[in-house]
Amino acid sequence: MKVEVAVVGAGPSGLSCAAALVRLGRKVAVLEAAEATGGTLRAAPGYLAPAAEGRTRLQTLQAAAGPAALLTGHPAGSLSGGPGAFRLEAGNRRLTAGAVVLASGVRRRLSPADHGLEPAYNLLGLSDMARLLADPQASLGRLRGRRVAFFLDVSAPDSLRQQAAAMHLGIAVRRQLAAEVLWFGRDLKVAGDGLEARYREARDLGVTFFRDAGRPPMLTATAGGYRVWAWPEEGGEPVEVAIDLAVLDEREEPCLPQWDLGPRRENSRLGHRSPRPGIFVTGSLRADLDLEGCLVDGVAAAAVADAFLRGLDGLVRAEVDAPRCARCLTCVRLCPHRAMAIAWYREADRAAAKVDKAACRGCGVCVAACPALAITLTTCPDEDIYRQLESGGRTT
Amino acid sequence: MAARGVLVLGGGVAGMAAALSLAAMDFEVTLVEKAAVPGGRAVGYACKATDRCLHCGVCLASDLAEELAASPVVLRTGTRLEGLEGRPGDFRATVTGAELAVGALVVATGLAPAPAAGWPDLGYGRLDAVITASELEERCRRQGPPAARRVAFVQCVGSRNPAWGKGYCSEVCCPYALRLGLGLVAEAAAEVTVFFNDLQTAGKSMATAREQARKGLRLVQGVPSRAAGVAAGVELQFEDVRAGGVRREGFDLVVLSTGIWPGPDTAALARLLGINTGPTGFFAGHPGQSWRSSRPGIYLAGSCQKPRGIADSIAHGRAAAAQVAADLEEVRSA
Amino acid sequence: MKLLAFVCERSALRAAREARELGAWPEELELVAVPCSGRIDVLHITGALTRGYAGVLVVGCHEEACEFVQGNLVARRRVEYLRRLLEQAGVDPGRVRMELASPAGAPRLARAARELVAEISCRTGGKGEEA
Ligand SMILES: Cc1cc2nc3c(=O)[nH]c(=O)nc-3n(C[C@H](O)[C@H](O)[C@H](O)COP(=O)(O)OP(=O)(O)OC[C@H]3O[C@@H](n4cnc5c(N)ncnc54)[C@H](O)[C@@H]3O)c2cc1C
Ligand code: SF4
Ligand code: SF4
Ligand code: SF4
Ligand code: SF4
Repeated sequence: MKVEVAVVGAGPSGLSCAAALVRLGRKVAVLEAAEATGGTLRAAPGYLAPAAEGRTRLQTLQAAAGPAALLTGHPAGSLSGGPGAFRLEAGNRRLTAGAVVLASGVRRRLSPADHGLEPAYNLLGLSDMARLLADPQASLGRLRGRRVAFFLDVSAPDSLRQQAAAMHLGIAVRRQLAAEVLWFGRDLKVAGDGLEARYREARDLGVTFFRDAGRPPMLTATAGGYRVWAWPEEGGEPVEVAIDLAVLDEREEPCLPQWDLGPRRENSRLGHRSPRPGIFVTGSLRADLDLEGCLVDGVAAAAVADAFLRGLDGLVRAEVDAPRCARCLTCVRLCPHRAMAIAWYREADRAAAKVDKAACRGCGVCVAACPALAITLTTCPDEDIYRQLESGGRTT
Repeated sequence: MAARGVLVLGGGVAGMAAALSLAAMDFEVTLVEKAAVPGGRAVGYACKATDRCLHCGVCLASDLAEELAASPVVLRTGTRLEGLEGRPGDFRATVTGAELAVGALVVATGLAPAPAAGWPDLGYGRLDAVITASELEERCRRQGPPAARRVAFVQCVGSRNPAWGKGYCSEVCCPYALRLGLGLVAEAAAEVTVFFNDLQTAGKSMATAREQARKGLRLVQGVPSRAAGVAAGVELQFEDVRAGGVRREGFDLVVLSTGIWPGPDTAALARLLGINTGPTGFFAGHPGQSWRSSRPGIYLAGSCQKPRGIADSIAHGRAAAAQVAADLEEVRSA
Repeated sequence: MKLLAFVCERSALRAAREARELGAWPEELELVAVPCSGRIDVLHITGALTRGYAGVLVVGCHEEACEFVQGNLVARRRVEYLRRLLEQAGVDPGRVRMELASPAGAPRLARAARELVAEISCRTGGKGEEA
């Protein structure tokens, strides 16, 4: 199958990206490892937003992304080629795509040990709680009027998404089960879409918030639940409460394919770009975004990918003088954008380093590093630099 | 041809990002900016790198401004919108000294910092050593950090209080206070105290700043209620929530972290354009499509719709651009 | 005495321009702009030294803010390597220096630039040095 853009992941950001690309008239395929689209919105309703709102959002997104080829059950496999002509394997399918948008999100994993606990039936992760609350078969009745406590900032310190989830779920627990709800964490996060209002709603519903003063709460298992000690004041006496169910924050790992995406480091300049031209990143894989943020981010990535495809011809930047190349691989190793590879030059009848014109961004790192002086940067050749040296530099 | 033309109102990071995206999608874009230069608030901010980048996003504003200068976007500075008639795909916009035929309008008129003088107890305007974070930013950008030894940041000024009609968190002020504070520690060897309600330090981009702030800054939960002038600077009175009790402490410089309020022209523009504002005074976006205003053909970008930092405002501007492009293609093919 | 700064277009050039507008840029320090500090190799720097520049500053973006991801780190490694070579060759390695900058960090870059100029003019007695 040949598409203009392959979107990896059909969660909220992937779907919103695919929908926007379709609206822009692009041919799009969405690769999704799971058997259905929706990501967290489907798998854990009530996690990213109150359940009813999440369902409406999901329906809207699925409808809007409908015209894209939705390949569910097709995890993204290996990638080759370059911008304009990436080749992707996904399950039993092979795709070529001009650009790729990674929207594969994060994987969440409950880790009771982080909280000093053993796994137990009355110990849930935030996403389990979301699933249970949404499941009509789940018998949560026995929690009616009991005490449920949320523990944040332990497995995933400083996660806006998880704090937002705890807020939505705490309110749902309070409303649906009339259970008493407690919140333990270090810094309460309210910097999300409508989150401050949700926090006030929770407080008005009687949810109790314990912010710890540097020392996280301690839990021990009792016959039917847990005993919690928390230190809301520095050096003060602990508060002690008995709870029936503990809901814990979860570890988060990015779901990245096994591709070489270039040097992996945080970078403020890249935005939706990965170090490899033509591969873009969006959604919770890129930043700690709430649902609103993911919806915006997906559409933004669509705009960036669309503009990239329009400008693909680009200008020629680095050029290798094939006969001079010593095939030392220095440039291949150093190019931050993975634009260099060894290839066959028919004219010179030999293999040498070759620049992928659509991937080269003209930084000149390879030029300065080539021991054979085989590379020229057309946009800033050596002669220019030396001329500037002779003429006393540029003054503007 | 109207349907190829787009008017972007406001040349901050959101407006520049929207304009550049649309230009890259081959639209004829006019950027109308009331100030003399484009860039909005963020081009006046300082880099907050200590020994490494703290990901404040300020360089992005500079990148966009350079890109804009080299782009085909028609820039009209010192210009305002005076009237708008017509319908999606076929608007006639009157701007200072000209009439433009455009298919769509992107509103990106930005934010206003909360007016610090609105909290007279905190001493702004009364005490010279009480300044706003914007003033500190501006100063750092042009002259580098001031030489004050004991510096206090007061968080949540003008945010998180429904009584002021601002029952939201402004989202950016905790990050900028921590980063600015770290800059003062690194470059001016200041002792920095941050008085906060709840620290908003979520996210990957905050990872380094967060770690450095917990080591290098004094973080006190509880926001001061009043400031008094004393011989050696300013004395703040605050309730120490964690240690308990009311306390007083002296500082050489007090920085008010004023939150994000809607830009000064928001209400007037809403009337002129016939679009809605929400309960907190920002332009109201569609649920789930916050880049659409209540009127077809008019789109929203950046911090004029809700408090947003630089990177988020840029993303929002691009999202608005994608929607404009899609809707105008539809208008044309209809 | 004249000195030279190789500046990357993405950060240092803009900061230097702003510093110049603010009157904080040392007159002696001339600019050569390149797309990325990683473009600069040791030959460019020694080329500047042999052309009579008393000192050379290479300026790239701050760590984790390089448009080309790691051009700045590559450049820093090269400058360090060259400084070792110079030392072995008996040339004052203090004449070559690497700085990191941001387009929004004019005062800081200007300060580093003034420091370099002051230090080198102090070492050479203000006359510069024939290499
Ligand atoms: C003190 C302070 C510090 C901050 N620090 C950071 C930080 O470190 N990192 C970060 O990410 N964010 C920070 N922010 C937030 C940042 O300022 C915003 O994210 C960003 O400026 C939003 O960009 P914008 O384009 O939406 O709006 P603005 O930057 O406000 O730009 C709006 C533009 O529209 C123009 N305009 C307004 N009305 C009209 C009109 N009627 N006609 C024509 N033009 C008009 C204005 O002149 C302006 O150029 C800070 C905010 C404050 C208050
Ligand atoms: S660095 Fe130069 S010699 Fe080595 S492979 Fe690349 S082009 Fe060839
Ligand atoms: S100039 Fe930069 S991007 Fe281009 S091939 Fe060389 S190292 Fe890669
Ligand atoms: S993102 Fe901010 S801290 Fe980092 S280099 Fe740019 S301006 Fe400086
Ligand atoms: S970001 Fe921090 S200072 Fe700003 S309103 Fe939110 S909690 Fe208050």
